[in-house]
Amino acid sequence: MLLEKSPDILVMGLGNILLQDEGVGVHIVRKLEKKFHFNPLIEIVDGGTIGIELLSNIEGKKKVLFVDAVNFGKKPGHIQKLIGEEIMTVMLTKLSEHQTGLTEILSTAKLMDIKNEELILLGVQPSSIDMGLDLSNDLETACEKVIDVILDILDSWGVSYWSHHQNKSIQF
Amino acid sequence: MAKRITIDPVTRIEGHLRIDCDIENGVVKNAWSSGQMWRGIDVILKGRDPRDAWLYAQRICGVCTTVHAITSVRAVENALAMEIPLNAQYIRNMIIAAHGIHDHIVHFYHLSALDWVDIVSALKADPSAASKLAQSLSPWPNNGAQEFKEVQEKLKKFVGSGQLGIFSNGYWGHPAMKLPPEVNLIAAAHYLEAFDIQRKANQIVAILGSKTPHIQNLAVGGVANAIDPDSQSALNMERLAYIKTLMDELESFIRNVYTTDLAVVGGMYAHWLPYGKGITDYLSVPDFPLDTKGTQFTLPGGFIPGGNLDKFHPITSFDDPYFGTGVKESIKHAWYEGDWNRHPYEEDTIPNYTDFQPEGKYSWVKSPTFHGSPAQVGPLAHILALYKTGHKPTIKYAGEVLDKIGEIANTKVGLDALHSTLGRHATRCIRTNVLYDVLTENYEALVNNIASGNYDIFNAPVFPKGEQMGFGFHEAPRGTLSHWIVIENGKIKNYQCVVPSTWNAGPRNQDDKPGPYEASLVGNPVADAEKPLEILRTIHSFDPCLACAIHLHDNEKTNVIHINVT
Repeated sequence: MLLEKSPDILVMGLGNILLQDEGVGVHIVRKLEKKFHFNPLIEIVDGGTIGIELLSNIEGKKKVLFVDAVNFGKKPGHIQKLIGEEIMTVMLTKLSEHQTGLTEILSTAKLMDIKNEELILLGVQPSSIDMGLDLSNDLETACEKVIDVILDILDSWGVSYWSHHQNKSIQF
Repeated sequence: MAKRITIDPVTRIEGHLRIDCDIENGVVKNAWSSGQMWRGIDVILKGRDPRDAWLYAQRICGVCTTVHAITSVRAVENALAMEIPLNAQYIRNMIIAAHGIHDHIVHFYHLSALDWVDIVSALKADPSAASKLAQSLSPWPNNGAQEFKEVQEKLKKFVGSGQLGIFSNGYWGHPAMKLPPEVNLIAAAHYLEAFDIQRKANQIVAILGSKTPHIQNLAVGGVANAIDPDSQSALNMERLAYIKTLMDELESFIRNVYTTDLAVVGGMYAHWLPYGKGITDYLSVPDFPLDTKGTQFTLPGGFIPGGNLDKFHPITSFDDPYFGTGVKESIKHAWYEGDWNRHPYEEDTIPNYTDFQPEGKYSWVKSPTFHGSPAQVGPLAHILALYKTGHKPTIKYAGEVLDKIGEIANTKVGLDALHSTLGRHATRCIRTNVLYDVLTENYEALVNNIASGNYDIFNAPVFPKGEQMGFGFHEAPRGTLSHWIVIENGKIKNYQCVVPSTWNAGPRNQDDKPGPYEASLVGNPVADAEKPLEILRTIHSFDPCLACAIHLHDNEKTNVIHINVT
C-alpha cells in the first residue's frame, strides 16, 4: 500500500453481512471482485459497517461508487441511483442504526475539504434483514441487475472490464 | 412531581440506545437503559469451523471489528490450550494498542467533546486571544492565531450553509455549556485536527492488519503476516519504519493536544466532578501478553469491589479460573425467553420481545455480573487496576493529568475524583498515553525479534474429537470484552460474546440492581428536561457502542431525537 499509487476509482460495498440483505452492498462488491478484471485498475473495498475510518478510503479518489441497502419503501430489489448532493439531501435525516452513517461521513468529508469529482450511491431495497449470512432469494436474484448497473457506471467513467472466465488477456 | 423523559435514540454513539429518566426538582431520581438492537451471533456461528469464527465475529460491529477478531481467536486458542509465537503476540499487541489510541481519540473529540464544547460559541472567539491561551498551555505548533482564524472561517461557512451535518443535534447555547468562546475555538480546531490524527493510528492497524477496514491477518494460532526483512510483499523493515513515523505523529498529538484539552475541559468543568459515579465495582482484564502462553502481561487487570483498591483481586492469565467461572448473564429484564442467570457456556439466545416494561423486560442487552456483582468496565476500571498494581507509566500520567486539572480548576484534584463522568474521560486520556508506551515497547520487541532471525508467526491448531470449551478476553477501548466458545468435534456448538457495553449498559440484574449507566445517572442535574444535555454527558462518558447489528439506510425523514415529557 505504500509502494504504488492507488487507483482513482473506488467501489465500496457497505452493510452488515450478518443480517442477510443488510449486507447486500458487501455481497455485490465481493461478486464484482471475483468475476471481473478492470482496466485501469479500480479499488474495490468491502466497507462493512465501518464509520469515520472510511474517510481514508475516499480521500484522494476522483470517483466513488457506494453500494448499500437503502429502505426506499419500494419492492425488494428496487435499485436507485443517488448522485452527489442527492445523497446528502435524501439521506440527511435518515434514522440509521449507525450514527456514523454515510451522510455523517460525507458531511465530515466536506468539513475536511475532502472532495471527489463524482459520488454515487447505488441503493438496493432489501427484503429481509434478519440474522443470517445468506441474501434473500429476491436479492440474490437482484444482484446481477445491480452489477450491470455498476458496470454501466464504470463504463461511463472510462473503465473497461472483462470477466475472468472469458479468458481475454490484456492487449499490449 | 417526577417527570419521565425518554431519549430515543441517544445520538453520537454507535448503535441504538434508549434512556429513560425520572426527573424531580432538576435531578435524576431513577433511570433505565435499554439497548434497542438484538444480537445473536451464536445463531450464525453454530456448526461452523472455529477457525473462521473471528471473520464473522468482527462483523458484529462497525467500530469494534478488530477487538472482536482478536478476542475470538483468543477464545479458540484457549479452548485448545495453544501457545502463540512471540512475533504474533507483538503484532497483535501493536494492532490493539494502535486501535485503542484511535478509538479513544475519536471518542473524546468526535463522539463526546460536543457535550462540553459549544461550536457556535467558537464563532465569537478572538483568534489571537485563543492562540495566546493555547500557546500558554501546550507547545503544539498548530496553535497560531492564523490557524485559529482559518478554523473559525471554516466553521462560519459550515454553520452558515444550514447543513450542520455532524454538528446537528448539539445543544448550542445550553446553560450547562461553560467554556469561554476562545476555549471553544481551540477545542474546535483540535476537533478538526483529530480527524487527521485518527487516520494515522488507523493506518498502523491497516498496515499490520493487511487490509482495511477489516483486518485480514489473524489466524487461530498466530498471525498471517509473512515476515521477511528482504521481501517487498512481506512485513519488512521499510513498512516497520513507516509505522514508526506514524507513531511519532501520534505521540505528539496525544501528549500535547489530547492531554491538554482533557485537562482544560476537566478543570473548567470541575463543578461536574461529583457527578456520574454509579457502580464502583470495577472489572478489567490483563492484556498485551509478553509470552507465548499468556501468563505475563504488560498491563495487569482484575476486579476492584466497591471502589476499594485494597481489595483488588488480580486476573493473572488467559486461563485464570477466577475470570472463567466469574461471569454470568441474567435475562430477567431482557427480551429473551425465560428468566435465568447463566454462565456464558450455558446460555441460549431466544428472543422474546415484550415492549418496554420498566418493571419487567425492557432491553435487548443482557445483564452480566462478576462473582455476583454488577461491574463497571472501561478505561476507569482499567486505570484504577493499573494504578493499584503500581504500573509506573500509569502513575506518572495519572499524576500529570490530575495536577493539570487541579491547576486549571485552582483546587486539589485527587484519585477519588476519577469515580465520575469526567473521571471516565480523564482515565481514557491517561490510558491513551499508556497505550502509546505499550505500542512503542511492542514495536521495539518485534523489531528486535526479527533482527535476531526469529520469523515464527503461526502454530497450527489441532481439533481433538469430543468437546472443548474456552474463553478469550481483551481489555478493549470500551472495557473488558470476552468471547466464550464451546467446540464439539471441531465445530462450534455455542458461542457467546459478553461485550463492554453489555457490562455498562445492561438493565437491572437478577436481583433488580441497576446497571452502571442506570446507577451513574441517578443524582445527575438536568437544567432543562427538554434538552437533557447532562444525561448525554454521563452516558457518552462510557463511550457506548451498541452497534451489534443493523446498519440499514432509511430513506424516511424522521426526527433523529425525540424527547417525551410526560
